[in-house]
Amino acid sequence: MKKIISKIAIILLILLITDRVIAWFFSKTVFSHTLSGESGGSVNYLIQQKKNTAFLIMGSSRAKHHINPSLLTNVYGGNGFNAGINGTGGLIYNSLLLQLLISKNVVPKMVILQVDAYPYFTLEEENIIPEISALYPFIGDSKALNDYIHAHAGFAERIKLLLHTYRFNGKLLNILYNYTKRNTIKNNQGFEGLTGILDTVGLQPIADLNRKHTYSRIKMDALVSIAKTCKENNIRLAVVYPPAYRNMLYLQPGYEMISSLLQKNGVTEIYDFANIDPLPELQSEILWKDATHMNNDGATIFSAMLNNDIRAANAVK
Amino acid sequence: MLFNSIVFLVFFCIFFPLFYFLNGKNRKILLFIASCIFYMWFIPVYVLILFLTILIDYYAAKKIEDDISQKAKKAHLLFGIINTCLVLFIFKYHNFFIDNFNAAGFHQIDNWEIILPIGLSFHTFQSLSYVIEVYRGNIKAERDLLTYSNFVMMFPQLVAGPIERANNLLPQLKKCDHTITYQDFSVGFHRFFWGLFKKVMVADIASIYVDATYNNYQHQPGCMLLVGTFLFAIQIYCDFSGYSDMAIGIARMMGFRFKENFRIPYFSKDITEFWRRWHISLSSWLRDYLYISFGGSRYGKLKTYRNLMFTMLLGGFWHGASWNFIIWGGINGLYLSFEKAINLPAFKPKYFIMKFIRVIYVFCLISFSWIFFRAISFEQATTIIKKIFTQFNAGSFQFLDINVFSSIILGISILLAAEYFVFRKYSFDELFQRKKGDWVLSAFTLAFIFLILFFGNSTGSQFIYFQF
Repeated sequence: MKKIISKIAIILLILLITDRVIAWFFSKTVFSHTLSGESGGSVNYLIQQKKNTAFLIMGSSRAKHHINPSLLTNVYGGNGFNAGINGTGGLIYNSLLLQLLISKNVVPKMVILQVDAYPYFTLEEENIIPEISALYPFIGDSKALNDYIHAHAGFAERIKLLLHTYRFNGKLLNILYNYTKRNTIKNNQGFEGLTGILDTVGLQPIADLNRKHTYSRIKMDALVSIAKTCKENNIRLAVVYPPAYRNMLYLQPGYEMISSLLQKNGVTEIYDFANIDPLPELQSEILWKDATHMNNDGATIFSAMLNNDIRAANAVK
Repeated sequence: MLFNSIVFLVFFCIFFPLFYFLNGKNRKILLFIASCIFYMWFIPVYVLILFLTILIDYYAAKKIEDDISQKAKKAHLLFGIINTCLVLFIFKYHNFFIDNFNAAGFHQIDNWEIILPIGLSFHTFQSLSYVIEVYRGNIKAERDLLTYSNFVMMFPQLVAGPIERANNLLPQLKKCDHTITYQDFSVGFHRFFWGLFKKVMVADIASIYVDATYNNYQHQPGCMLLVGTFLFAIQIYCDFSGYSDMAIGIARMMGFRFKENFRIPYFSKDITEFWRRWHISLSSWLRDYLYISFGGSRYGKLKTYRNLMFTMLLGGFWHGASWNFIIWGGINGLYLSFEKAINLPAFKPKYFIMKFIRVIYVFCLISFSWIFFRAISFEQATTIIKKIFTQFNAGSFQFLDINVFSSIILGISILLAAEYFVFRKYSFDELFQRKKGDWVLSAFTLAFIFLILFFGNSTGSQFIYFQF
């Protein structure tokens, strides 16, 4: 038994020391110089080179590919950054990202938050790991992030996070790839237009209006937290409900619920594009890459529409 | 409780020191309690089903040995087989037969809404082999219920095998006072992490691409479905052999030796060889209790092909209550019969290039059969095949997520290198016994841990074979 215990102890010791050394070295020499990509690089870029950004677009892939900040000329002259992220850009991620950015003195004047009623709001399971793991590389930089992970991530995740290299789990190749192209980044506004045209054969609506949706408590809390953070930091918060081709993701009860929650928390600036029936400009399939993402042409039209709506709202204000 | 979960790590860290220091009966009791906890972690009440099959076969085997007349022995053998199979039928196959009965247009019967007890097919086959071996006089019936319970329930092999034979495992469990040597622990420890690497770094990552293509097969071109199919072949191998490595590794840490379940099957040069290297504990079970019982190859060529087909069809049906699994078994039966007809295994390739072509031939044929295994319906499987052959459209290939795809390539490269250069030649024990072998293995284990930390899928997904 003595030999077994000493073997485990030696392996654990080597594991811990090597882990700390690799994680520290990687973080200092590679990650902190990575200024693009969805594994923390674009967040680094925002923190290091976009401190004076006037407005921030936040949300999922449908924010990232739909809203071009340079076309929002009615919002601080288009001086904004699109911090949308593919796949995991839900409310928990955005709530934590906002707190991280503020702690790093990136305080925009306005946040344009894209919120989907479906599927980001209606997932029945409350597995928050995919959302928060995108920010694991910044655990050491943000107390709010650290506290949130310890409160919500669960025992297994806390154990895994004892090893610092785990912060880069699933991100290493992406970081290395983006690290090698760090010098090619000049003035990037985060927006990425998509190419391609939707093939409409066999399209079926994804959102089921008849289904009784359960709304995730933890995601509603995150939305409230974003509203609260904006209020505390004097940031104007505007919420955008994005369109989907043939209303594939349109979930009216969901949007009503979100609107009422936002209004309860003092957020009234809502731009609702979720139902595209009255919006013929967005109905042609040549504007869509797939049923839930517009291509660059669609994004240009959508950004212009949003810009006009914001101008109208500014006039009212 | 999954081997690749933190809960299991905590469980084993508590269990192992106790198991190490206890001896004899106390050790057996501890193993029994730990196995109950392990099994009850899934659906607690299902442990009663396990107890039921244990009691049936414990009683049947005892009676077979005690009976004097051959007729009575046979009656008790049938009692054991029928009742054990009945449990399997009720929980696993009942709804399949109801569905087919309803589809045939007879009286409409409602399905049962029951969840399949985890690992049911594995432990029922293990129990059945025990009763049959007692009947054949190859082993003595186990008189100690606790020892027999541990034989069926022992947690490393409880939910997805390997399907252990009584002549290997029962003697090890009987006294349960063996000393756990440093080599046992070390070899088991390293083997566990090798299995974890295969599961978390290869199978779970490959599954992201496989799921993305198969779950959306109507909109995918043939080229992506083909890549998805090849990746599923890798996924299922790493998922199941990874599980087996972990199970064998855990048992070895406890001083038990399980039989090998996989011997690098994708390096096989014909399908016959593949089935000697793939899920060995099941294929040898099917060979010993079905193929040979049907007559094997003793009654001419046609009957040999028939026996091969029956065995493989039943093997397919063992995997799941669906026509897709039966077709999968049937395809493999056809492959084996065809190879037997042309006597392919007798033609041993001499040169590397010929060996390589044969390995690719086996991989492609086996991958083709996996389409039926992975697809959730016959319609899905046939659509995928049709698309691969008629709408290949190589120009529309997409990596989907370059980060994931690169990780898949990295994982498969490490797997191939390790299997070709190391595990094709040496066992873990042989590696351990080499000069500084333990340190080299430790260095590799550490490297695997870091690869898992950097690239592994951290969501702790279930093992594919748990559903069987």
